[in-house]
Amino acid sequence: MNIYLPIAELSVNIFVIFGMGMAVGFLSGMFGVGGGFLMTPLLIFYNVPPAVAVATGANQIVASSISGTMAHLQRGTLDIKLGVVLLVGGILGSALGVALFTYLRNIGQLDLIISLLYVFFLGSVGTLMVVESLRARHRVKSGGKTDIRKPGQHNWVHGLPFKMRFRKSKLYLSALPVLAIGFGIGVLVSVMGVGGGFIMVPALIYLLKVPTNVVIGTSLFQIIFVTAFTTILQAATNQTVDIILALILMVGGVIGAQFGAAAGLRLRGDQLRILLGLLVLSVGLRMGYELVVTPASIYSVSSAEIAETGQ
Amino acid sequence: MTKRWPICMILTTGLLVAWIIPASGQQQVEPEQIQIGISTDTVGLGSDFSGTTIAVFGTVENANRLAQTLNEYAVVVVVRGPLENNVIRRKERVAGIWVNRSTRTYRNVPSFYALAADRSLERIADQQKLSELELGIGNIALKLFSRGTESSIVPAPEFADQLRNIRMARSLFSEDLKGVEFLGTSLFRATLAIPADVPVGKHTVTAYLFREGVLLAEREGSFRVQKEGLEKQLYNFAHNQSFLYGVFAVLLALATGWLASIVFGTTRK
Repeated sequence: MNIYLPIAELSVNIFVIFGMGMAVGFLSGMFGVGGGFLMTPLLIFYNVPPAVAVATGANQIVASSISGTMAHLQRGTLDIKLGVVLLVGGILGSALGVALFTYLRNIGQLDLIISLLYVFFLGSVGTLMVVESLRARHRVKSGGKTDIRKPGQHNWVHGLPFKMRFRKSKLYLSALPVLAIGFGIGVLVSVMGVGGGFIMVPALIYLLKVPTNVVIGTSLFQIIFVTAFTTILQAATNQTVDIILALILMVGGVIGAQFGAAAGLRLRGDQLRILLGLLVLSVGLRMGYELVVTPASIYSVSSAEIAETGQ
Repeated sequence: MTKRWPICMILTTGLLVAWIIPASGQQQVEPEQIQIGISTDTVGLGSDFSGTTIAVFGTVENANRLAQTLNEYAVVVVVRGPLENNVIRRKERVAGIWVNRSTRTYRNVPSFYALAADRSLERIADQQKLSELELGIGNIALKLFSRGTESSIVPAPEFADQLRNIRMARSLFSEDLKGVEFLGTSLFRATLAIPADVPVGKHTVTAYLFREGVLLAEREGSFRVQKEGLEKQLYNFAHNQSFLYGVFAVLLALATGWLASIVFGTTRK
């Protein structure tokens, strides 16, 4: 059954879109990630204009992150203060990102930059995840410790000024790197249409040494606000948020996530991480392949409407 | 004096006859006219729109019997969508990656162009006339606006050809040389295909009547393509109150996510 998307101006099969939402929801429920990095490329592969895919992706992440955030809030595994500082950086980054997005779209380089960012981030994060989880697996087999965090260990990040105390995370550190991480991810949210959890989580763990139990909750907390802000900004500046598309994806996503979460319980942590790493890596490779392979047509047309006169 | 009367009579009658004969002759060469009627004045893009066809009916008035018998009247009907500016980009390989490099901008290009005729265009008029009236996809005037970033020596005609090809591939430019059918001696019908992604706006319909390469008459009409129902309201909402639309999109997402957590949360407990 086909449905016409009013903003994407495209006729799509409702079941294909729903299935995409389910599949991505399943994976995100299984691995505990937002899934934006899968959703946006899938939409682009399905001929949804990248500008619409990115903006609508951000909208869809709001829906898929809310239930997780509420669960973490109830359990108390969420550092609100840290989340708010990340959020301040995130909103600034998102505003810059939307401006950058509009500029790139006007000069015709948006699709290229989106693809390059995907290839770079998914490629590197995917590789790191696979390598790290293979090592962890090796340590498990040889009976070693698997805890990543070593208390009392400091790096250069802890020498920066403007220190703040984050009680829940048991951290006393500068606001600067927190703002910077929030800012960088804010830019990615608006240009790539991802929640940014796949970068946020490792950055918090490895760079800021945030305890793993509050990492996911805090990351989700700030993702909701940044993606909500990005959605409103994209809608207001570029008119690229397609509510119909987002709604189908959301409904598919939340249903898929339930099955995914159940499936995830049957797999071990290191197995999950290897699988997720491979998944991230393969999406990155697919995007990279598109850039290198000779396109079917090297010409493309974009049109600007001329205001109708004499109504 | 009375003798002159007959002469006067003859002269007057002669003048009268002379006046009447050319007058009736003139009636016979009164110029041909063309009248058209379009099967619809709006095409609605609903959620299930997958393309349609429109019919343009018309008559040739004051037709010459001989020309009709010899099949000398040729009719061309063209639908032109709202004008737009088009930017054509050409990709080039840079460090192994395909990147948009050269661009050309064309101004006032019809966003939609569908032509129906009853015979091949070269049998209707000469090239000069066809170009002047922009009849045929190859004759759509593509006016180069700015040359963009000059990074190669690709000539502009190639860009113009590619623009035509891309539009043809999406059925936004089309030509049907059997699209006009005469249903009698002077009644004709043109059938034009409107594809699924036809642009929104006012489309003009122009019918041209030719005889032996000469344009005798033309007549214009129009129809409007518009989004319908929910699609129309959402589109207008997104464009006219875009900030509120964004807030609405976020609220919708929050509601969906929250509802799902309640539904699935309670069922699992």
